[in-house]
Amino acid sequence: MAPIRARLPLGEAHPEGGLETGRAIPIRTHILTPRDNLTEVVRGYALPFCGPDSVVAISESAVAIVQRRYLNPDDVRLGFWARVFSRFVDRTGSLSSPYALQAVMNEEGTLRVTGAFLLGVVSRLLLGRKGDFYRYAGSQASLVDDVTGTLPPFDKYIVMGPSRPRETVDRIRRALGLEVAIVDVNDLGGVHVLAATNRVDVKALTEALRPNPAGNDDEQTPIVVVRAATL
Amino acid sequence: MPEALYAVGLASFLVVGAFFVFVRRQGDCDTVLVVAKASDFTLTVEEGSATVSCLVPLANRGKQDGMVVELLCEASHPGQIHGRPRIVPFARPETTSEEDGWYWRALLVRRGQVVALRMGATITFHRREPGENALSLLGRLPGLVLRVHCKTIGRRSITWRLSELVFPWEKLTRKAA
Repeated sequence: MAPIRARLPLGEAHPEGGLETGRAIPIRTHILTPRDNLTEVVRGYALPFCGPDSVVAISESAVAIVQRRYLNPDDVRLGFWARVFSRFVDRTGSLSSPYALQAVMNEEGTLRVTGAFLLGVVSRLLLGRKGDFYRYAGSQASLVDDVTGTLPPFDKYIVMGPSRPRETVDRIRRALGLEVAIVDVNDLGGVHVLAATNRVDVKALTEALRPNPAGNDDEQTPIVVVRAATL
Repeated sequence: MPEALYAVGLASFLVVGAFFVFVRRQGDCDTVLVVAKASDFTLTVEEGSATVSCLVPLANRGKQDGMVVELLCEASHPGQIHGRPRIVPFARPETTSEEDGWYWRALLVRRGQVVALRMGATITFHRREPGENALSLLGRLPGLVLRVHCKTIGRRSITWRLSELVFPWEKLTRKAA
């Protein structure tokens, strides 16, 4: 798939966000595809903005796409349990689609997801606790993005979470000498650091990313350089 | 012992029954292109080409949200046409700009929501006799029908739905002339 030309000059810092906080600088890139090399992408776009105390935060969806971890729903063979369990997921969640749930089951195992589902039901009914399903179903359950959840041309695919995030950040660090993290950030203030190199101050990084400087829409800013976020 | 088995059987039956009732009540999306309510038909003619379009409501009449992953159009017209026109159909939500191109971006249609789509076709005449213009060639076009294939993902599975959008051709060409 050929990369699509970005509408604004590539490598430009996003006009909002970075200037607002002075710490987080979202950077516009071309649309990343499996033809890209993540190390080269970071070298080309993020390196000029990095100082000695900077951390390069990369969106988990962008990493997953570069790793070719996306599926066409037509290629997902629906199983019985995905059809059943997806009925109980709130309609706003990615897993309310049986295809996304089946994709998670294929990755994490049907038995694990089934167990997590039963545990989630019991803990919600008896203890009033929410979120146990996502805690026990494996990382892919919370990282998967259903159709419409990603920028075109990947809006028609189910995008999974990245594979081996720790190895990925370590590889970029070895090549470029930068501190790197893979993050999942949303507009509701949720920040999940999937993996980070050793010198990253996860708490400072989380706070800097909480306003979601990269945005969740069409900003096309999968990389955010965060200053003063190292230990 | 048999009483216990009966109780287990009855409980299983009730659980399965309750699940089916739940699924039935929960329902699914029902995303329909309401071609009968198409409006705002327009035909604009330029040198050697013409653009015909209209507004068509895309409605979700179901109980669940639906994701319209693809909306593919193909133009068809009856009979042979002089001038060999090239007809390129298009469809996009009315709220998006033409500059965004004709890529159909997967669209989440909430239950009860209606999205207005601008649908139509660009008709280009590559071969023209001297003295012929696009309007006179359009007049020879016996009609124009867009066959629209809509792919939706809901709670149940992927569904494809076919709709036919018929343009009131005679009226449009008369108006443009």
